[in-house]
Amino acid sequence: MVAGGAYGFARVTMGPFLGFMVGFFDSLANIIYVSLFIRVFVLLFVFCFHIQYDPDNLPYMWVLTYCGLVLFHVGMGKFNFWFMTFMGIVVLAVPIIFIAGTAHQMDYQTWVVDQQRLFQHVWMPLGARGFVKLLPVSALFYFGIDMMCLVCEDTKNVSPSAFYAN
Amino acid sequence: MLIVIVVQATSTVPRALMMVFITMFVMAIAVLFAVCSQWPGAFISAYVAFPFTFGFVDMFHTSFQRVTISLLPCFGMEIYTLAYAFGRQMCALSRSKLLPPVFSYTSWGNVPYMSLIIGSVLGLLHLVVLQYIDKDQFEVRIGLMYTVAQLCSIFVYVISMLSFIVFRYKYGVLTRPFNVGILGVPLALIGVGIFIVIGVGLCFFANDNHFHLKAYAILASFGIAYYFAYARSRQSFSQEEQSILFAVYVIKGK
Repeated sequence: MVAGGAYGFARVTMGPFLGFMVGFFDSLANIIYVSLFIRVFVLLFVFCFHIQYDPDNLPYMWVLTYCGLVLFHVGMGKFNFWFMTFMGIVVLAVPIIFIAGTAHQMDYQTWVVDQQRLFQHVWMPLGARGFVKLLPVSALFYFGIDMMCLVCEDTKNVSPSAFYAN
Repeated sequence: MLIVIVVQATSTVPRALMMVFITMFVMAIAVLFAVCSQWPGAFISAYVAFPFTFGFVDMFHTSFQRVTISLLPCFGMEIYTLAYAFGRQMCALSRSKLLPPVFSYTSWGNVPYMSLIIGSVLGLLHLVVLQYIDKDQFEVRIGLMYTVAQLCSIFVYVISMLSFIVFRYKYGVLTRPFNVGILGVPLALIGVGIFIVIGVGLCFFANDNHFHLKAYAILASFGIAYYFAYARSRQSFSQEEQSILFAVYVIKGK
């Protein structure tokens, strides 16, 4: 595998043009995701810490967050991979704690079956249009697989262990 | 999110991939059932940013705010990983001479800092432009830009799966370090079908406003124009592609 994602594979099999478009769209998608998530992160931050702000000043907060992001990446240097591995385990622990801690109050009959009866259709309560609208969420599942090409450069230099942190 | 000791990469990587996939699948199903089976129920939980919040508030007898603060690092980590992804991708594109050499500048620890900086500036510009074009439409357009990013990802996934199928037939004689199995091609075809349905849904059902289609068309046109104006005449195989991948084989084969 080549660090950089799926474009190398696409380039050899589908030709240089489609290969480039894969690399272009992959980078573009991640740049857009980061900018949108940073906006949400800033809003959550100001909400959580009761920070008074003027909506016109939001761009300054975005700049600060971006600067922090880049500096943190550069500062972590070769420990980026290990940091992501560690945080990956921490993030994985969150749903496990959630499931273990709330298991006693789960009630499938009340919150899923009975709620579904409120709708006319059981299988597609929001209709075909609603189903198609929510379907893209399932594409996020593939994201983890797509990420594997990106970590190989780090593992190659660090050690042969810990191939996956993503 | 899984650590696997890779002694012999050729045999352990497929196993690691399966373990990662199974972990993701089991966790996703478990979380889905856990979140849907408690207050406030499946339909409200589907529309909140952090569905775990309700459960954690009950569990720790604390406020929504404190729970959100404790979940912020997880959200920050998602941003961090996505930034890692675009930095690495643009650096790799630059090494193949598909982007200018400045994108492949790296700092201590092989961090592609210039790709990170340029990508961050582009992302920031995108937000600022959306903010100042029309403030009333900002929230709507932000949502539509998310759709644009999803369309970009769908394109990548479809081409990746098609590449896999083409590779199987076009370079079938190539010696592989591990077998894919007979289900590889049919599953890839199913994947292509699913992603095409998702793509069509995003294009025509996601929103009545077609701003996202126009934005996608503009970005795609820019990519195509850039490729033919700059990248096509300069591109080459990077060192990694020549040594790690199969480029040498293909070049020699041709």
